[in-house]
Amino acid sequence: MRLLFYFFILSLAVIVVRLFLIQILFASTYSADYTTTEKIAAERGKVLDRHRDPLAINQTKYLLYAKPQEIKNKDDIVSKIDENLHIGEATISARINETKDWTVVATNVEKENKEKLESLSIPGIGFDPQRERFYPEASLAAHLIGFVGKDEKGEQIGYFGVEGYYDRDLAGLSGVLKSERDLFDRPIFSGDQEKVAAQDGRTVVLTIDKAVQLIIKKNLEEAVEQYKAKAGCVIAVNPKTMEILGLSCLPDFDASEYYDYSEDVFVNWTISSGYEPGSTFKPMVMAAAIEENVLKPTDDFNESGPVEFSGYTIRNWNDKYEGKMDITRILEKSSNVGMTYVGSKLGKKKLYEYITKYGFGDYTNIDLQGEARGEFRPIESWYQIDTATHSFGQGISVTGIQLVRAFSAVVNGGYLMRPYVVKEVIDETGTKEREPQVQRRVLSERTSAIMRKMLVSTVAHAEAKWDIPKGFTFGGKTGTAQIALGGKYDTSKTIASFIGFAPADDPAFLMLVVIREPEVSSWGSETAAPLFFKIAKELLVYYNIPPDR
Amino acid sequence: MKITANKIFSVLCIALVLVNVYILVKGVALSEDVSFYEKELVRLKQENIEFEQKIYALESITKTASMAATLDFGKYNEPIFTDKPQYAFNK
Repeated sequence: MRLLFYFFILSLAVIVVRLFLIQILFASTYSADYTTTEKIAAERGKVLDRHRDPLAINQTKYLLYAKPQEIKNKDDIVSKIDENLHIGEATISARINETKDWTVVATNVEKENKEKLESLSIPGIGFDPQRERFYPEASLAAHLIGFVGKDEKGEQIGYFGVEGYYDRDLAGLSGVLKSERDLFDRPIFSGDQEKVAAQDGRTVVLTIDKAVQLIIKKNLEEAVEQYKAKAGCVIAVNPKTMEILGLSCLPDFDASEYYDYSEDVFVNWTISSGYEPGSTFKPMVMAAAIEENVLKPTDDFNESGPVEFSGYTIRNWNDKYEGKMDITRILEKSSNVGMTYVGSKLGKKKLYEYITKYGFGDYTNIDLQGEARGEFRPIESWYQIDTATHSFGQGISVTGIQLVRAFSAVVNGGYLMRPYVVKEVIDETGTKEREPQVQRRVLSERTSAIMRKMLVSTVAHAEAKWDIPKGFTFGGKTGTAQIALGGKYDTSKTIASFIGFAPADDPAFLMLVVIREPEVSSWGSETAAPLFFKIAKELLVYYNIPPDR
Repeated sequence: MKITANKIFSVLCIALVLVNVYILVKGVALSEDVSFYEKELVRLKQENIEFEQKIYALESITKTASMAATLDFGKYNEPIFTDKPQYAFNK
């Protein structure tokens, strides 16, 4: 019995000494062995359309790695991997670098391929799951959504569109799990566990509707092909709130396979590039003149021929002049000479003031990454001719979204609104809704009502005849701008556009159509306008809008 | 019957050893449970993501539109009331 007692005492002493060594003297060395730190990845938030249908969600793909030191027959393994992944034996062989302990062989491996390779029980290779983005609608709203790529550290980051602008909200915050583990990587039940939970990314609900996107994109594709255009863009908004209902630009890209496209395709040029608006700019100048009471729609104007302005001759687009007409007719026939008169009545200072008030030359603050300001020179550097040319939309560069915002102000009662794409942000605390935001008032209700009538008349008395849906009143304006190259206009290259709204008295949507360098016809009235009415016809049906006359 | 201090001490020691062994075995079993549920959670989450992806791929309007075009649907269903507004007015 005494022997047993001494045995226990001795055992206890050994344990105490050993614990002293492990926990006190060499604590740091030993703790690294049994304490594991794991990063808990946050789930990236979803991007949904206004009916909460998904536009961007997450999917799992796999990273195939190799431990070259454990590989015995390299050629055989290389051949087996290539049979499944088809990335080339030479590439795989080069990636399995024998001087390294661990090396990446392939990324974005599909689950089926992973399972096939696993079933072969190849020694020295393994898989790590990778969270990737999945876009169920492929390229349907590519320029609005953007894509998720990698930064210089290999971490996921959103580029362009909503993925870029809302990257921090969507990405969430990673968590950390520190736990003491035994030899078999099981958590030690009585050990320390320290967990900082990951905060998943927020889900964003967009203002766009995937059905509207489809209507827009389908018709735009047909038009770009029909008119042999270099590119095309359509933006549809609710002019009362400036929420984007649909936006599509061509050529576009499949966000899941962004790496297969050149960088210039990613740019959403309705927000990131400026262009000369041409005649689509005229209604803004006309509205300013009416607001300032320097003109009335019924005032007379004599269009006797081209006009000289500080040494330059200003002509109409068709070089035809009608003589005596009223002010509304200036818009109907898109008279440059008439707009020069309107600009001169308004005066340089007021013209500058209104262009600034409409927000040209400034950011609209739309919630999409990469917005440009366009080009609008300060009044001090204006040439004399600028008062005339700016009146009919030349010598100024605007972005599509700036034009849509200003035109919406003209028809919505004069309110300049902030355009937006995200209407709700959802996280674990609840849903935050975004309210429409008035940036400033530019025009009075009276001027806006006059302008709606003038723009309805512009569509009704346009020289081109369009397939306008019967029973509906449309307001709008065409535009054809030549592209400036090396300080001169290239007459063969134009940007054809049409901006319009319906129903005229209470617009449900306002839409800008821009066709870049159409070969079949260079005129907005023959390319952009027909496309506008084609899309509008489908939108009227989709929104179930009854005829208004 | 006389119970000596030595006997009591021995029984206590054996009991202590048994309790320790029991706690160790229970601890290992619980650790295994924790480990199992950790893996199970990851698997279920993964399965959920895969199902979600399959469902959304099927619900895709782009895919539906492409199928409709292949099957020749939608060619003859142009809404008539935009051309003949009297239908909308029910006249």
